[in-house]
Amino acid sequence: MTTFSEHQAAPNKNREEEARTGLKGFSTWRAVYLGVMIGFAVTVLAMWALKIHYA
Amino acid sequence: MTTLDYVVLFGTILSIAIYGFWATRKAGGLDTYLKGDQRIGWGTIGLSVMATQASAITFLSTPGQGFESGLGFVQNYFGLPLALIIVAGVFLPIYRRLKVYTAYEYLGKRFDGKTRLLGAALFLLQRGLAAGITIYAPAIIVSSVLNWPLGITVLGTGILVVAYTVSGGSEAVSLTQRYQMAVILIGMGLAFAIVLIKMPDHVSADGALAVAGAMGKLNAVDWNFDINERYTVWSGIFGGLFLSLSYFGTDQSQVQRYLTGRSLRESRMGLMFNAVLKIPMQFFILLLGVFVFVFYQFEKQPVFFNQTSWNAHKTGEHAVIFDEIENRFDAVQETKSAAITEFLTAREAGDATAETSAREAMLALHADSQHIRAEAQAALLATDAEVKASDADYVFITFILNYLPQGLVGLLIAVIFCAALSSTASELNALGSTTMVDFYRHVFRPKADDGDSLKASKWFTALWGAVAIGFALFANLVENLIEAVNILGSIFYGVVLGIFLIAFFVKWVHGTAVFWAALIAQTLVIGLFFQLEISYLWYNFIGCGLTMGLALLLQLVQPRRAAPSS
Repeated sequence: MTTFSEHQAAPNKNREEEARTGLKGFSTWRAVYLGVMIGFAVTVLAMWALKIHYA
Repeated sequence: MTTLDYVVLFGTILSIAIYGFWATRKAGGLDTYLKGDQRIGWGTIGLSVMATQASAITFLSTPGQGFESGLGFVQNYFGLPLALIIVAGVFLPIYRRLKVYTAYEYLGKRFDGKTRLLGAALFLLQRGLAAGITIYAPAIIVSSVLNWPLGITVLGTGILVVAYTVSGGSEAVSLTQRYQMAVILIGMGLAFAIVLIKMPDHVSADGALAVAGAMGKLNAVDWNFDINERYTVWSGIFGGLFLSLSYFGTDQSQVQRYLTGRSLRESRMGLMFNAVLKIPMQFFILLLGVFVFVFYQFEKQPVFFNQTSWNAHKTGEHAVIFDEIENRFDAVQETKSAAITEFLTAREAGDATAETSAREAMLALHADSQHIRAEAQAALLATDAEVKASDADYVFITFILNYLPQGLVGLLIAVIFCAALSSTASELNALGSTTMVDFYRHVFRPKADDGDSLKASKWFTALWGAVAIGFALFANLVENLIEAVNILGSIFYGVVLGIFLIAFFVKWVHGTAVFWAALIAQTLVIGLFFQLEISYLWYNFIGCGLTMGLALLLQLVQPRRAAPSS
């Protein structure tokens, strides 16, 4: 159980608990990661807009 | 610095260190010492990861970088969110599930003992040198500006951090980092507010941004595909992803921080905290430097910010040249200040023609002042070829000492020391743990019990502390030391990441293939370093690519293992 594929395939009694994020609106970790990437994209666009506005 | 500043400075750094001692005085066994008993929440982990990455030089140099080159440096962090997602989704669950103390222990479980030792040795070599620099770099700047003896500054910082790190281990590091990071954020926030308040009445925040934008300082996003451009969105995303993955996923000074989490969720949340906040934090530190730049358009700016060095070389026949440069610079700055005011007035009045002509005059004068600053650096080098000609590291501390009110100067100097202490503590903690777990208990004393291992951990942490302090004390004997350590890091980081990526994702490659691949790749990277004239950052890509490619190749040509008999 040392590679990622083995880790994914191995039985895990804590899987359900580990999948829980405890965040409203982001019930899965995939949703959290997507939210982080959307936040990153928005930040980059905001910084770009700042540059263009004051160019 | 006034008495009040000294009270704030020493009160802040000593009270946090004493709290670290006190809160962890009953620290129990080995698990508590190395992983804080895995009872730490996501907020502390998030701040701890952030504090480990942000050394004192981050808070001294980054505003200076904003002052000189604008916001472009923020793009360096564009690969960080994705890297942290990969670490949280792939690296972290496996580390936790295998209950490892160090990242290199994982290599032992995945491959074999020799690959584990190779990974650990590469880490110790690179991080051991970096710990010395983490103490030395801020000490040299602060001691030079405040006329403190360098040796005492290094020893004071070093002994304090070694004391609470040795005493309380990982938990003390995480707890102190929480408060050190709070001091850093409050201090930087106050500096940001004060630079805006201290702007002349006719310069609003919008006006300051307009001046900065016109002078090309708001270049936070550059979509250019040119690989010769130092900071672009693309180099930030690809290069930054690679560097961050290596740093957060395989460097024990970071791995140890998030392994202290009380659950997988807490560790993941701590990493996501950084994925969300790191870029805005760097952006605001750079923007602070940009505002300091605008501020100095209306205040008397030194032609060279490292005034100690400038005044020390302003002697004899050179004094005349230095004076002449200063006078010309002051005259241009004064005219430029008037042109900027004209530009802002025209902008506010909505007079496009006047705004354009004032803008052109302002930019021409800015080019003149930049030219004179370059002349000043050349004149300084002419007096002493060994002198450091860049003054960017001195911009922010000069602003702090000259324009912040009493008490806040002490707080901002405390910010610099808090950053130095927090990143050094993580480094020493990781160096001590790796030496104990991957060498002492793995090679020399496999039968050592937890009590014996705990004592050994403390001794190894203290030993690495002594090495770091010794290195910092004699650092000035080596030229371009900071760059040398960065180069050293880039030479080793790629190979280490290559080993870990094979470990996680390519199941059919075994220890012997990856071990020899890493050794060959490391030798080739060192050889290429002396042959090629490319930016040292590329060695991260080259090292990782070579390690992975060679490991796959060696595994393919290696005789297959006999299948186990049924």
